[in-house]
Amino acid sequence: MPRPRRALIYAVLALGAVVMAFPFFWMLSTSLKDEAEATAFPPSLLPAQWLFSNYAQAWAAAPFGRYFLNSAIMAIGQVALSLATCSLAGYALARMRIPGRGAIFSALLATLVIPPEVTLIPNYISMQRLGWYNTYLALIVPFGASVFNVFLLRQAFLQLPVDLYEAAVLEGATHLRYLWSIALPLIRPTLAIIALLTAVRAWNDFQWPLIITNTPDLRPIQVGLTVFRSDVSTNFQWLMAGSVLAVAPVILLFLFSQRQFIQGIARAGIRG
Amino acid sequence: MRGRRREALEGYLFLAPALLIIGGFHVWPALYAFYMSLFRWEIAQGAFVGLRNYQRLAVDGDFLRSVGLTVVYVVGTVPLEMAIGLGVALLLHQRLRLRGAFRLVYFLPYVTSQVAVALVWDWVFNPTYGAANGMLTAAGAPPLRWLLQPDGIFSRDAPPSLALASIMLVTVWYYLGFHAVVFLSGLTAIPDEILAAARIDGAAGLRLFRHITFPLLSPTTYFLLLIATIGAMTSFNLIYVLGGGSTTAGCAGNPLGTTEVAALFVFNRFWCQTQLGYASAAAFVLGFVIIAVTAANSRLFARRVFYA
Repeated sequence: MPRPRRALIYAVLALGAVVMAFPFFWMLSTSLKDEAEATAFPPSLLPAQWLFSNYAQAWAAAPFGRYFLNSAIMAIGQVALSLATCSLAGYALARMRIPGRGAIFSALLATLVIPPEVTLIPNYISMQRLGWYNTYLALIVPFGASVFNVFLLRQAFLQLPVDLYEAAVLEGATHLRYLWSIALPLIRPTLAIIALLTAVRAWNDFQWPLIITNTPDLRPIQVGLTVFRSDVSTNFQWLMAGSVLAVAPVILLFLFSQRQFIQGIARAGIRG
Repeated sequence: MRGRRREALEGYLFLAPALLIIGGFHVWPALYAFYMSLFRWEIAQGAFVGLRNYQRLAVDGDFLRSVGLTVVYVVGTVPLEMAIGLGVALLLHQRLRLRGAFRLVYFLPYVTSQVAVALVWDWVFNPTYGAANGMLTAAGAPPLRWLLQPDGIFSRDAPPSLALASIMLVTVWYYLGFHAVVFLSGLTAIPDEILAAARIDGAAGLRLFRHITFPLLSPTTYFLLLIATIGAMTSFNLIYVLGGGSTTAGCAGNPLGTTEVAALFVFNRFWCQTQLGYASAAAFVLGFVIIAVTAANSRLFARRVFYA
């Protein structure tokens, strides 16, 4: 590639990167300013003094610890339940001789056309009737299985050689035994991708927890953040500190598992 | 024979937990939404009203406006985020230093929560202290009211309002990295031999892209178009938070309803006005529109998709 063209590509990408990163920079910068500087106009690019104490104050101004715990319980619960139910179902659809297997699989795929907007209100009613309103059950169970995860896991199980299963049967293994000790360890990369995407989706989820929780002790971080917004409406430096806290775990997770993450997105193409 | 029956039974047991959850919280509620839409249903179930909720929707100015705004939102975001995403993917597809770092930065918004990024953008667009007006002032331009401005950007009364346009800008920013990553994996999947052969035949630059790369990329493009359209039609979080929705009980106070797209219309009728039957009817219509648009997309574009 000729030199000037290469320089142009770098320039375009770098300019774009600045625009993409600016809101994150701005979040951090504001979160470290004092109140007078945060509301100065025109705004300063960097804080005159880096006030890390804003974080301690924001943390103390709202039950962020509890919000974090709730989000973690929700994310871990959804991951654990989803891995269990979808592994079993994906395995059954890949390897077990069941009458109507093809029909069940087609029916599952057909349900992908149902948009979540349609199910929101009836699910809210269901939670009331089940007595799950404002409980962890409501935050976890409805997301404890997804057609997409079943589909991905079925694909993974289908790619394992059949000989492997036959050898295990000769040794007297049952389906459950084979699944647990041989098949699941072999598809660990797929399990990791599903766990990662499910956890991030759960951590970032907003609409469902917004309508299904009504006390701070159940509220996950995203809902807590919008409550915090109305509580500290003019303390932008606190609000930004809270926002940084809410995105930090996911960004850290992403930095450490970038490859699996991008692979998973490219394969599954899930859009929030 | 007995072994077979046992295996079938075991298989159904394996399937049961997932099917129960998907059936109970995804399929059943879709049907129940239709049932609810046939009732006057406020806090509790009321009288059966047949299709009257649907008749009411057909003449409800707010609902019709929300459908129009959804169209504006979809048309204004999806092609733009796909085009920029493709551009970024093409640039990143070359042998560059810092490639991984660039990909990381462009993709970053997509993994972060829409609530948190909406709060930052809300702060950037703050009419009194915001960075956006800071830049305008520095450039000598008059400040704008951004998310609080109900006036249209093209003409005063035509959508999108500056408020909605600002939200669309944030939407494009949020999703373009997603498109870039998926396009990039599509580009990587194109066999080098095809490109090499085309180059030997004299194709290069724009011609190579138009006649070889873009057609070979069409399955990816088609897939992205489908899910981005569905996603934009049901988009809620960004629009809700940027439109001012804040407390658990509060409702979006968007300027004069100019950012109330269909998903927000449903939410506001359901959550703020507790008209559950009416909101269900609107949700059901929205669902049907989504399925119809998806089907139309398939008919329009599927034939042009070229599977190498």
